[in-house]
Amino acid sequence: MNTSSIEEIFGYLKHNDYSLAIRRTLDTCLDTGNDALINDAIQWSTLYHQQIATTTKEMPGAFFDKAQIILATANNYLANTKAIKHPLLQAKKISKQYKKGNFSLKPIDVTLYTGEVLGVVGENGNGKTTLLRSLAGQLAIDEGSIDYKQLQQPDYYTIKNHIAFIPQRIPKWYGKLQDNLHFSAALHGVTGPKNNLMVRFMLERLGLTQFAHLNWNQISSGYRTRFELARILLQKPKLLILDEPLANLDINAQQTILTDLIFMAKGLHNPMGIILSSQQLHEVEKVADTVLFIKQGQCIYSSNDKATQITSTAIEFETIASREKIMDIFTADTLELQYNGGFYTIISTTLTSQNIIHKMILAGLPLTYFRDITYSTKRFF
Amino acid sequence: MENNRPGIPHFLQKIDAYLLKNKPALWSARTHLVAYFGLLFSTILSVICWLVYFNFKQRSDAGIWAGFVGLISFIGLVFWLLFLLRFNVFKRFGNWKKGEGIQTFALYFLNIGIMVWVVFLPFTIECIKTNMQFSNNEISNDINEINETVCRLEHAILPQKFNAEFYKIIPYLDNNHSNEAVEASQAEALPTDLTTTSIVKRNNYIYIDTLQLRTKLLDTDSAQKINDSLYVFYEAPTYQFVKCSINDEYATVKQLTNIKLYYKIVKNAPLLTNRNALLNRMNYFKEKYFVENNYNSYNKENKQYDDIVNERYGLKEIENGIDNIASKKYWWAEGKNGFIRIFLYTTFILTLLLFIFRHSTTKTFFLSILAALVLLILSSLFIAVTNIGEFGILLMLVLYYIVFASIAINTHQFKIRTAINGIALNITFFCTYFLPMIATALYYTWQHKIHENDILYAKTYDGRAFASTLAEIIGLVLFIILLEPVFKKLYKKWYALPEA
Repeated sequence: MNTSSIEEIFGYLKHNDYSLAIRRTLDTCLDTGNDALINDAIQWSTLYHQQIATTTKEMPGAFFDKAQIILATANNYLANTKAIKHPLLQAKKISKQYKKGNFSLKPIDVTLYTGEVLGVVGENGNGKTTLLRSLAGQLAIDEGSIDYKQLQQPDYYTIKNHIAFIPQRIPKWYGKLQDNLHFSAALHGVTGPKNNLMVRFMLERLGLTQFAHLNWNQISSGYRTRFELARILLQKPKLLILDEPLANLDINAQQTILTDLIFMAKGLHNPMGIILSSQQLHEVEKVADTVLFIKQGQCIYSSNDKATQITSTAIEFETIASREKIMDIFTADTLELQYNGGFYTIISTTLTSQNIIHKMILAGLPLTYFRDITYSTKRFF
Repeated sequence: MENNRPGIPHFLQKIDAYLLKNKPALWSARTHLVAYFGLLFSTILSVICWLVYFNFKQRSDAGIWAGFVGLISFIGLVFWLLFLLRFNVFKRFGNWKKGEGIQTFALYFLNIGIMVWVVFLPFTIECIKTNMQFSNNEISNDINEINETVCRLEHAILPQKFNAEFYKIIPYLDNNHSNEAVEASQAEALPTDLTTTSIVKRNNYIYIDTLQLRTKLLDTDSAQKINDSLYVFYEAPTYQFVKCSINDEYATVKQLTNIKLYYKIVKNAPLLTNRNALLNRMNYFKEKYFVENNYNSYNKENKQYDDIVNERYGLKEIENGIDNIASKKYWWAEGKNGFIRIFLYTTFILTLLLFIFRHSTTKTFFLSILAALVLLILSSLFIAVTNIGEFGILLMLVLYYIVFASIAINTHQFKIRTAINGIALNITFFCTYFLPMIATALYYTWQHKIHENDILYAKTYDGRAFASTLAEIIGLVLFIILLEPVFKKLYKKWYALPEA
């Protein structure tokens, strides 16, 4: 965290991106470790939520004044601080064969540092969950080794205390949601007034305050994911593993949650590594430092190795123009054009993506969608 | 952030909130809620039991009450378990502090103890109420007065002659009565001129050895030594028509025995100047104690004097009423050892099961119960076929324990969590407390086997009761010592292991 982050937040406020500004401010205040400041930020966030619930929705002057004070104080705490990456996990050639069934996970290497996000993508039933559960210590591996770098000769209880795993189907919570959060925090050493503060913080940070008094059956599956995330984050895990966390979220929530996770992972409060699996390729690729593509139990692509593996440009686009008309634009070039019924995909070893779109625009091709998937796992589907 | 729960007073809400945020292990056991509601329920139940009218001389209804309370208590237990299952510190891989294993076990024990205890409450209230209504000496005084009054009123029909029995003394009498001295004197006839004031009950000698003679001399109403090896023992006829032996143990005023009644009333024919007053007194006692008794039959042929007296004054029914009062009055004093054991063992075993359930997977918990049942059935079949006896059964239990404990102890070497390992751990945990008791029983059974025909063996056997009590204490100490450093650790290792 440094002065530029604070300036970023001022920028959000200036351009009326209040929600993002508040989330970032809450994270920043958490990083300071100053309880009074965290409390101020929570109150400020509450003020915002109260204001947007009114008909005017315009922020009062006090809102901005308060922001100035909070951010200035935070700046004093965080000037010249920086999150340092530490090795977190190194899995070498881990493989897994189920006794029942034919599926097997072929040897895979995984390396993760604090503050990093590793995305695991692939079709259903290809081994994403098996890999995640193996890394979480839930499944025994047949071959290879997993080294949890921050633990010395740990037993599995310690490993599971160190790692948080959120499965695709989150087990039901019983009792009031806020009780679960208080309990979870206390269980991991956050007790007394700090317990109250941290639960309030997490509820406010993930936009859950108004639902805290409800129980599991009274909230939607999207909010269940958020509550589970809040519970897990209160435990301050060093490694967070999420299996299809975006499955139950709407498009906006997916983006928000992913961004939040990145900020929290890179924060000073509890720098952690994140491994997540998802079908939302573009969303994951946008936030992940490394993306693994798994097919039939084998890692066929790792974005870390892109420099050596990718030799061609790939783009996908949508147009009402015919295949012939498209091919006419690229008569002089060597490329491959594929159509899956929805999108066209062009793969070229000679043209860059800028060249391709430039040619299309010059030819007046009516484009409704365009994406460069050269470094995306999308091209493997 | 306030968290109001309906039906819970403010102070308890505050305690609840404090424990939730500071002591999650304590909070999740919900002892504060169980203790509060348990005490509330006990108080309400006690007040109801106290206020509800019951007839002291009738048979006790406390059993029905206990059944009803037991059902409510069971519902309470189910509710508590539902709450308990919601939050499990152990299964959330939380931070465990030293001593939390014992603390958790103690809290479960306390909670279950509260729920088990309330079942005893109706009996307790009944006992207290009866003790407040009747003193020990009141009952014994009444019994004495009843017997004296009846003896006065019915003196004319009371027998005066004592029953006599002839006893031959021999040095040592074995269990088979095969003593040579016995055989030699079988043919001897009884003396005929010993007494004219007695009724000779049996036409043969009774043989006793010198040890039995000493006891007999202490018990008898009267005795006459004919020579060194021949005694006549006299027994007064029944004048004590009503008695209550439990009351006699606790009252300082002792009940008059047949012989005492003989000397006090029967021997000197009393003047019946106050017959009506005596009859009124008997009516008073009838009013006080009389309870219809279905199994009394006064319609038999050849009625004896005691049948006539019992029927005339309803003495069996009076005795029935007194017995009912005594059973309520001395419920605790007579049965406390049994009740304490029932209470402690019921609570302890339920706590063990709950602790296992909380530290095991649901599947492994039920598989453990199934495995124990299957083993029991197979062992029973084996015992029935081989007839291995008590020693063999106990030895088998020890061997089972060794096998299960060996598997359980090796948990730290396992790479995956298996059901077999979990079952072994659960059964070892459950049985550890009982191991010293089984070992003690095994030792004494073995001793008995060795010294079966040894006359002096009884001396070594005397210590068994003490050794068994000691084994119970050792079992508990052993269990407490092993709970945290061994069982808790093994459960942590086992539960956290990855699946296959």
